[in-house]
Amino acid sequence: MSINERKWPLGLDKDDLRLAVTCFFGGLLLAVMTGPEGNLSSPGFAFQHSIFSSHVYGFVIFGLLLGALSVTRRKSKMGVWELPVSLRLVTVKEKIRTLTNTYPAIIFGVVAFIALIAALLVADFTGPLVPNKLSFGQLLHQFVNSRTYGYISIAEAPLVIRLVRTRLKKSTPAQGSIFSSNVATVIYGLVGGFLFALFADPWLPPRFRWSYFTFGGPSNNAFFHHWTTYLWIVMGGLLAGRYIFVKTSDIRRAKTQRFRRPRAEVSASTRFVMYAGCLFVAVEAPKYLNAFWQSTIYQQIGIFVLLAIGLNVVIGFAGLLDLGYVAFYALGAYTNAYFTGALPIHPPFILNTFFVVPIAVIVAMLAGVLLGLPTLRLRGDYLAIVTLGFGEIVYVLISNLTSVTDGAGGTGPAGGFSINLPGIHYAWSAALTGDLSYYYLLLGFMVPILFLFTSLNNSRVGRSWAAIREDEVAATSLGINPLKYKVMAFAIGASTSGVAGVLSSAKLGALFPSDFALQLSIFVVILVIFGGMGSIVGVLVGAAFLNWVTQYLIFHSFIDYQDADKFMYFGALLILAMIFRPQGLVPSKRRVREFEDEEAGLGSADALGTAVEGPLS
Amino acid sequence: MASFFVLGIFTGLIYSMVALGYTLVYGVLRLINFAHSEVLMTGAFAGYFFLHYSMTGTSFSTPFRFLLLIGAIAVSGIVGAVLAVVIERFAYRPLRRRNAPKLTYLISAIGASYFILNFVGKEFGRDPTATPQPITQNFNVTIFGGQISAFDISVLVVTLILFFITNTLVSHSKIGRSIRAVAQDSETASLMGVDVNTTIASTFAIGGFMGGVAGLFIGMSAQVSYNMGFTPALLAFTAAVLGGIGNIKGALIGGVVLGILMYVPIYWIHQPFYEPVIGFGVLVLVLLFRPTGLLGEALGRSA
Amino acid sequence: MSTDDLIFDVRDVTLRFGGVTSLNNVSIQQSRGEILAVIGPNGAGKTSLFNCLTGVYTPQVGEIIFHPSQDQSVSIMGRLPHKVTQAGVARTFQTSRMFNALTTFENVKIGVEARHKTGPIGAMLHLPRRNREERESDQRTLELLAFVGLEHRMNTLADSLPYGDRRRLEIARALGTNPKVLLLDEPAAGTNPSEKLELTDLIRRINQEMGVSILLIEHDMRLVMSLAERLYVLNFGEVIATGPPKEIQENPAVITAYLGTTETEGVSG
Repeated sequence: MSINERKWPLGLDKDDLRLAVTCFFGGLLLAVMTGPEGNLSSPGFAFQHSIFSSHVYGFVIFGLLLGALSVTRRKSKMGVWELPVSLRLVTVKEKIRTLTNTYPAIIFGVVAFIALIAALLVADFTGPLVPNKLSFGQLLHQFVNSRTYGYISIAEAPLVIRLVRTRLKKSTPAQGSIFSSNVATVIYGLVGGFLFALFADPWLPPRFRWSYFTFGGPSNNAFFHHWTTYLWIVMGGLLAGRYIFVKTSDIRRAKTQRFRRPRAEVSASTRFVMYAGCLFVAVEAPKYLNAFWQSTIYQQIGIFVLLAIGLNVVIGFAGLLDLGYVAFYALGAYTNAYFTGALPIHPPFILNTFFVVPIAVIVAMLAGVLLGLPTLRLRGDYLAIVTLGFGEIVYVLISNLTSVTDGAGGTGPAGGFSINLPGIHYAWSAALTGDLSYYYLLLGFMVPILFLFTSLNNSRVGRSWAAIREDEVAATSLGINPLKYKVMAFAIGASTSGVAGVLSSAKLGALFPSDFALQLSIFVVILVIFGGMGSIVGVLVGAAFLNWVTQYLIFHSFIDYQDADKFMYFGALLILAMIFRPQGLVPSKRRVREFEDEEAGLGSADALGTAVEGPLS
Repeated sequence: MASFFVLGIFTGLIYSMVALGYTLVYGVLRLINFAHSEVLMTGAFAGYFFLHYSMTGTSFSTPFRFLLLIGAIAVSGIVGAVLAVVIERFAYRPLRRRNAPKLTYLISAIGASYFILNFVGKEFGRDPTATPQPITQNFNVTIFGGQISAFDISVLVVTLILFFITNTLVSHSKIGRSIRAVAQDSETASLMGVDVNTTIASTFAIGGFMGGVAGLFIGMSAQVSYNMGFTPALLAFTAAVLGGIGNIKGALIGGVVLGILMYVPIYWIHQPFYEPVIGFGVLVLVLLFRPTGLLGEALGRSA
Repeated sequence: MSTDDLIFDVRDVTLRFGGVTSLNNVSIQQSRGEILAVIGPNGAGKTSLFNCLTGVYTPQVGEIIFHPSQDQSVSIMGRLPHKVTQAGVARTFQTSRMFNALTTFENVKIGVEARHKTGPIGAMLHLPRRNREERESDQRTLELLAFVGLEHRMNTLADSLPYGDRRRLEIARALGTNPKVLLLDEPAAGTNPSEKLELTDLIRRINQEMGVSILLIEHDMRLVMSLAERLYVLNFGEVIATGPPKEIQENPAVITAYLGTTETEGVSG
């Protein structure tokens, strides 16, 4: 604007400089963050050893590169700098598309090969620990394992399905041919189940041995003796039956009404293969982990994934920020401790932990309703701070009410899960390492919960949440009671947390208040946001990944990392995520739209107020 | 009983300084600045370092102690103000430019809070330390059975002076007029030539200064540690809501009332850990029965 | 006008905000099946009236009675907005308030589901009622979209619809709640002349084919005159005239009120 404004070379301006400088200092900050721990008696120590040492070089280069990249991106966005045509993302995509159209067979082969390699890598990675893991010979060696064929089938299945589909489209199939009859479908299902049992059954040893296929041998691992073989075959048959049912009811519905549901982006069969694959990996892979990860996968990863799934209902579906989520987790855990007689106060009767689960659900839900009812009527940020306060209060109380909770010293051993029926006695092992029984129990809880929450989100209730999140006034005008649905989300989230508490305490035994510190609530919030608010798959993946990384870094750190540092990184991650990718890792379809940038206006603060409160309230 | 009453009043005064930060930001942005607890903590650290390196000797004259206190207040306040502006610049402004939904502000603020908290923890260690005391310990006045120390008196004086300055600044200065204009309607204000970004930054700076000074006093009365900000900030927020969030006088009155409400019951319960429990109970009750607080919410109009 | 079969009976309603009186002693009667319009200059209290009728505001004085059918009566006073909707009053907003991240279909479906009963447990477990209600609401949503002519936009996200379509979507969404009376807050604001004609036609069809009474706030005089059977004129929160369009057009009080404000409108905007 001013006349004596300096001319910048290359069309750069002040904002570019600012961007570059920010990136540079960001690199330096990262250097300090990854540097050594400091202490109060020599406050300069940590800075000195992270900035004025060789440690800094990599970060300086990183900062400069990042700056250059961001400036380039900004300039090309503004149209000041032109990228060479061949480098633009659009042209790259276009090139791939033309390639696919001209040489479909080659591309298909390449993709199939990549999938094969990926399957082998996964098989090796999840396989038993060997010194030359992930080497070429080791990859080839995977072909010996029957499990590997399971992974390969999973990786190649989408391709095969696609291939069959395109073939079918080309040659118009004869209606009612023998291959598409219901009987044929059932046979496909049974054969599929058989093949799955043969190649991928996680309960059978991974190696092929012809001796498996005996009918008369005493070995429990023999193929035709093992119950899971028949389980998979029956499952295949059932799935085929379900497919037939869906197909016929679809045809019937298509006849009676014109309405067709919007087509899903991923076809149902592909999705099914994906889910089955994930479940397979979840069941199979942990067996080959070392003892550390076998214990971590339950307490440090699985429980937190469950917590994140529950909190996702509150934050992702209903759009409410609950910062005291761990309080409900604590409630669940201490409920278990109480009813299994681990607290100084004694229950009227000792319960099996399986029966504590519904009680914990009710307790946590009640607490959620009691806390939610007064606060959910108010502005959203009040809820955040009240839940924060609640989390702190629960923590203070369990730390200090020694006569009830044994205080900071920890409770006595809480009861674990066990089955005591006439004829069946089984107790889940509380061994700290190398036992997966609790992990499988958790899976048994998690899979139904995932199913229930998915249906919930795609129902009237889920749509009402979306409506309230989008525009509460409009939702009210359509007969939706906002308070009711918010309390509902809050209670459902709380009860999931309660279940997680019982599961956790059953394995842990003694409970310490420090296991329920407030930071954990924030941690779970981070898990949800990182994965993608509102997206169940995203939260699942994000939570598992983040937990894995934090555990991994403790032992394999290439930087000076301590467990307590994770919140520093997470804090930075949260800010960056909110600025650059608020929809998370795997965004939910609904929420992507909400986070998309509105027109850059005045940058007015007022948009905050109107977006939430609206002119009517 | 009287000593608890006195304790309540003077702790409440410190809370009210923190509450002012919440109130000012809320008035302008309609948003709870979650990262304010870290402003307080950083202020306490700044004060600690200042006093630690300037009080190297053993005995000090009274005027020198007085200067030390003034210096510590200035250092803590300025560091707090700078940090608050930095938080605004990096955690809020990019979102504001984008008109992001409200939830993202809260999350970003939590991120900022946890980043600063643990960053300080990593750089300066995680063990709590005591701040050197510039104020003499051997001076006590007894009024109605309650003991008032020199520390309490300095808290009272500093709080009242700072509140007076802030109030004058907001109601009579040019920047105060901009703050009130943005609080009323930021879009119109920007059309009238008010620089919204600068105004918001200065609001954070004022709140941050008070927060930093409050941090200094909290650090002096208890200990300095990287996670010291959380509970006082939660209680200060309660104070802000109690007085009527967005209302400057409300912050002062809310802090004192909350302090009394929190400490007097401790006289009967004898369990000091109930203090945050009571504070939280007050918060829920206020939100239930009078969400606009004692004095009502409005920046500028009633201030 | 028949007084025996009223659908809305607003008696002496006064609404104040602090010292400002937004509605002063307003009485309005609407017969069943009638298209009634409330007109008036900006700030006359029309939207405040709507907010009173839908339970958003509770007036300090007066009584608002809604008759879902001839022998039923429901007091709106102090009833929460969602309860008012469930009683059979639907509304649209002056500035369109769609659920922007949802598709057209989902938007209407949320309205249709207002009367459904599926709760969280039914939804989670796919109980029979949930399946039945899903089918019913899909069907009904489709009918409504066809009725307003948005069938082909079914899977479009609401915020990528053009303005006129959004208006119709909002009406379809409100109709989903199966109302007895539909309150339209400036439905034609910001639409072009051809859209206005379509809208007039749509409102008439809603009235005749669905038998829904219509209460309309509108600035566009041509639309009001062609649609409304009767008008109320509000100015400064008071009813200054009432009657059929013809009479109102010639009423001197109305003319002065409008002339007085057309000038200020011209200045302000």
